[in-house]
Amino acid sequence: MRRQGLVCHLGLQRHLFTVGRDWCRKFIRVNMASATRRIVCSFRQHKLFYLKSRLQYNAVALPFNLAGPYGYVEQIHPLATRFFHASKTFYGEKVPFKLSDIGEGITEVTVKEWYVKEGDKVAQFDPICEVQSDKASVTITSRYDGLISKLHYAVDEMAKVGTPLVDIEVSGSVSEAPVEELQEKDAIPLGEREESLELELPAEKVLTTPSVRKMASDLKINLRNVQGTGRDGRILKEDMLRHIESLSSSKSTPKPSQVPQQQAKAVERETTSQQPSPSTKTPQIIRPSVPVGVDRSEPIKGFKKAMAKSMTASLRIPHFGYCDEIDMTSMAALRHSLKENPMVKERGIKLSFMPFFIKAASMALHHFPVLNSSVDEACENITYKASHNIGFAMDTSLGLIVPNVKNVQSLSVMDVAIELARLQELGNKGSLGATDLTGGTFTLSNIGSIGGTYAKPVIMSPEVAIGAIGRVQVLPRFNSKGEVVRASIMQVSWSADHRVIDGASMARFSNLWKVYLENPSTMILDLK
Amino acid sequence: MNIFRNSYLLLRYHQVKITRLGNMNSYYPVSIIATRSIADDVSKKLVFISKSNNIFENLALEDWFYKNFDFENQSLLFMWVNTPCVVIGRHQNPWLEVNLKNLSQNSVLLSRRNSGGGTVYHDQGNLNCSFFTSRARYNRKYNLETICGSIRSHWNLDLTISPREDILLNSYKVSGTASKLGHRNAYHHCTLLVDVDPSLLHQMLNVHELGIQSNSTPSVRSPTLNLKACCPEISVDEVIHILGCYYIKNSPLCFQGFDFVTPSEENFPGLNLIKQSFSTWQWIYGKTPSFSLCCPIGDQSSEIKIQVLNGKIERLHFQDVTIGKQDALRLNTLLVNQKLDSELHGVISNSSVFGTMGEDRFSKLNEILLTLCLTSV
Repeated sequence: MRRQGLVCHLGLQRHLFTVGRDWCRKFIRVNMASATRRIVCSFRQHKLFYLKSRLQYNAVALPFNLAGPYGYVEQIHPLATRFFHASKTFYGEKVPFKLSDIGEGITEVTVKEWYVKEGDKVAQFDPICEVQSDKASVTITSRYDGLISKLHYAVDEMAKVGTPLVDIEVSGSVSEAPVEELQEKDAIPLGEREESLELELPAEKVLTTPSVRKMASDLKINLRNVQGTGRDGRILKEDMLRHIESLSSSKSTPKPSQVPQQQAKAVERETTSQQPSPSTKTPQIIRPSVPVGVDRSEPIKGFKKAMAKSMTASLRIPHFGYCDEIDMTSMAALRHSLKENPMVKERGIKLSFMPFFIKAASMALHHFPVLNSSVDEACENITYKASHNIGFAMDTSLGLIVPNVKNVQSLSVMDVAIELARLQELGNKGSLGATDLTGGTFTLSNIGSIGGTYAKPVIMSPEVAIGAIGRVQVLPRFNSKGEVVRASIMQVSWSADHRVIDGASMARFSNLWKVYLENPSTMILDLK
Repeated sequence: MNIFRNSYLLLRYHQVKITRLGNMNSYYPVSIIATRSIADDVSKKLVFISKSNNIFENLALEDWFYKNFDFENQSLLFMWVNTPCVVIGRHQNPWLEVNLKNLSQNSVLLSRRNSGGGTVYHDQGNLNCSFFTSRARYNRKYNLETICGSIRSHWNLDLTISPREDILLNSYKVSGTASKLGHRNAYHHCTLLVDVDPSLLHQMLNVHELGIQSNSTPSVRSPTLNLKACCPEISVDEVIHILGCYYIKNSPLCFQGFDFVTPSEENFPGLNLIKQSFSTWQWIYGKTPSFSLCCPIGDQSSEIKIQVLNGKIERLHFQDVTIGKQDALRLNTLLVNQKLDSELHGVISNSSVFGTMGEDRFSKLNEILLTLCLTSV
């Protein structure tokens, strides 16, 4: 029975949309409960179908060209108008709004005041409540537009972080995944037979669901080529998948088109025209069956991201390099003798070269304070730092990190060694603190422990200088008498900010450091 | 070869053990919070100093900054000093925290701030600092470390931060902290006792037990100390100067970046409205969470329970039948739905109701009600 002003189906989806009021007034009013099988609305543009409300909704979605400001109709299929969704104007999906993490390790807060009550309409960013944790008072704002359906806590109750705070009925679609995937079986059957529905099936149209249509359009498959096994020759998702499989498996040979039953004759004609003539057969490339490597991409985050960020900042600094060679023979001998020394053994600290490097650098910095300074971004002010917080690069399982030893100017070599050991241990566990990682004023990198000679280190902003120490190699050198002797040679490469440091200062600093290390007894002269 | 600094701190909470090594300085325990690195904070830093000494104007300005300023790319340190006043936290009960009688006798103002926490006494020797940042950059520890660092570097006072995030000097409290976090902005403010009158402080915050039962935020009392007691050269102006410079991290001789602001309607449109809302009885006393107190009648055998909601007596519970219906009715008409203010005080003192009902029986009730009604705006 075709009636003027007959109606659309209701869908099963729960993301429902509101309507302009006009159409609704015809048969129902907004907020009127709809009973099953009650006529809800009508629309004129399309074929007329009997609308039976199978679900309890209040208002009805309009066809897209008449939709109200709040929503849209998904798709109108002339036969299966199952994509119409009825919506209560204020009946949306109930979304639990969880209490998000406030930070500072807080797991429980007290709800102090509610700014809304059940049944109130809220917009995004409207304040919902105020919670208090110890001394911080936090205003929680709404993430969605909608209606408050339930408050989970009363005033003065303890709310746990991560648990739902309120339930909001969202008026629009809130889920990230778009509404789709209406399978054949979910759809409401197109009117019961006893309602004497006449359906005109246009001969050109292929019967499928919109999800299948979308799949086909994405993969650029002609639906006529797909064989449908559903009722009345409908193309189901399984048919689609089967078709795709058959396509991929028969790539090298020209594929014979799949034929839907109703259009067999037309397609046969097509098939014959598509078959290639035997004389023009092309030679086949034999594809080897070696598995090809796959590109892998992952987002840069954590340490790598920090590295990328600080490198970008460092690039703005005009670097200049200065390299030199240091004879470490005396230093090696000193260290060797100290290792056997009972005082060192008693303290139980492993004495490497690094404490000596760091202390010598600090002593040299006394004479060249410009190297222990910091410039601001615009390079308008230079701050000469009082404390020598010398950073050293450490390789851990998570990557390279640079903790620093604070106030080296007041520490002895032994103190530096102890502090180094402590930082190493923390670094290996991955538990270095903020104080250890920030506040550095000068950096030394002992890349030589892994290998290498000369390097071009990158200054770590906001410092102005950095040194990279190479490997200790045993090389032949001439001594003062002109004889060839074996010497332990180590290269050092300095980089400095050329805006504030000139080559001469860097060179003199390096020379002084070199003197301290080549004759360790000179360090005693400058002891403070 | 690449060298970089680890700018992102891992999400961990643990204490770094301090070891005393030779002559190394000791550091306070640090808990690691998942935030952007402190060294990474490249936001513009502003320092505002208030020219007004009125608590309501300053609170209003603080609220104005919180609601109207955009802190996406800048952070603000706002410093202010007030004439003698007491400030209670957002969800506190003034009857529980403050001695209202002493307050009115010494003409000390009472106000309620927007952030949580406990009650504090302000006067000209107390510096208030409010650190405004965006919600993402909110970091209480960093702000307290800035204060400790600046004072330590200049006056060599050994300030430490307690687990409750108070600043301690020789285990005496010199600062209290509170904060407010919103959707976009957040602020953390704290006091600093430089040279506060300790006797007045104790008088104001010394409350007689009234037997109030409430869910309001209680104050945690601690012994306090002035910074001046340990270091006579220190003064509020100097602290403002040093803290401001340290915050902007320039050399101490530089005056750039400090702005003296006058909280007025021309400079900050909408300020008067906020100031008025903070000065009303409704805000100061009416925002109290509901509380109740029991008052014995006659020979202590029966009780009346007074329930107060929003500063008004909501109902009276008569716990005993000895109070006659007539008396109950009279009390109800007199008291229920009345604000606990000076008007009610006048009504009770002048009323003959208590006289007719038997003065001895209801003397305690009379007394308690008069104490409660000592509110004044």
